[in-house]
Amino acid sequence: VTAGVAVLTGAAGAFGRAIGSRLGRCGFVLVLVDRTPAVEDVASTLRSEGCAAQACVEDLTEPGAADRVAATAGALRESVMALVNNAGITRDGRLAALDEDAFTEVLEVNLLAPMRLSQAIRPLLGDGSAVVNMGSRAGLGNFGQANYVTSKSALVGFTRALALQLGPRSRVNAVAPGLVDTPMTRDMPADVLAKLVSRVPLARIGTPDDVAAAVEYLVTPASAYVTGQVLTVCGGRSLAR
Amino acid sequence: MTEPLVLRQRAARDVDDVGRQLTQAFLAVREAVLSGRRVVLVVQDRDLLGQGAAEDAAVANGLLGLMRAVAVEGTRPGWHVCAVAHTDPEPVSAAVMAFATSGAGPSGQLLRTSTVHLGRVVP
Repeated sequence: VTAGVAVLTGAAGAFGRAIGSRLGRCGFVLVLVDRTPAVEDVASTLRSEGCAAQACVEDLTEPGAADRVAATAGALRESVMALVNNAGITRDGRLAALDEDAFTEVLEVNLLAPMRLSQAIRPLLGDGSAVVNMGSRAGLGNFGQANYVTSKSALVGFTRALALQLGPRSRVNAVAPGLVDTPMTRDMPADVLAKLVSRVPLARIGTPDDVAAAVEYLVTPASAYVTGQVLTVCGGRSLAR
Repeated sequence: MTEPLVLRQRAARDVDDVGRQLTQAFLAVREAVLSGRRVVLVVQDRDLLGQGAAEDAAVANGLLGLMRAVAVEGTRPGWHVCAVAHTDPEPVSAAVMAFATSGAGPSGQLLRTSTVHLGRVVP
């Protein structure tokens, strides 16, 4: 007996690997979606750890990709009990330097692709299923990220509306990570990173597993009475000066 | 003094239209603030809460995020952007719009003119 199918996007990234590992251990049959073939290695690793996982190499910004992912999940002949719209990108720049392409690219990946995939997966969602959208603390406003902030704030709005539409059959929530240890933050100058960490009340950078734990909570019965909410995983940064 | 840009959320036809509307808003807001015009984004309060179509909720909250991101970045004198949330069919009161477009208050604020948010999440 499995926990049902879980579709996870951005599965080859830092968050995706951590989320996949947790959901695999929960007994979900994983459909791991990513536009990079590296997702094949992620699936292989999870299978070697005893998890049920298959890779699905798709760029969700391409026409028809959401339907192809839904077909892959549907072919497993089990209800989809979890959809985690985790894939996201940044293309930062000050407003004066941020061009239209950088805006639309971020919007396509972070917002429009999750909206299309949610529509495509919707008929497959089982009773008691859960959708989790990956927001960001930056969705509250952040310097040099007009594109990213717009996309993540919009995704929260989408989360609320979808929660009202899909209840009581499915729950829909968002996770909003703050500063997390990923390849992107490791590229920051040490002094810049230290300054950012100094603003975190819990006095450390987050880990991908901190985020994955929040996702696990939101897709399992532990959160059976929670829908339409944003769980901010930022060490308290969203409150601090 | 140049006229402020007042940009109103419109109903989104589909997911593609969400992208178009937010992109057009970004381009218009960027041009306005960089040329010294104040900006007011007018959104539906019920869409901020997600009480309507999912596409409209995405647009309303996307515009709110855009407003906040632009406000965070704004350091030039006169750089002023805010949002007004109301609920159709109630019009936005002239007094609120006059305040919003005047640049008198702090930048980056959401001004609400309806009560649908009371007892609910405050975006």
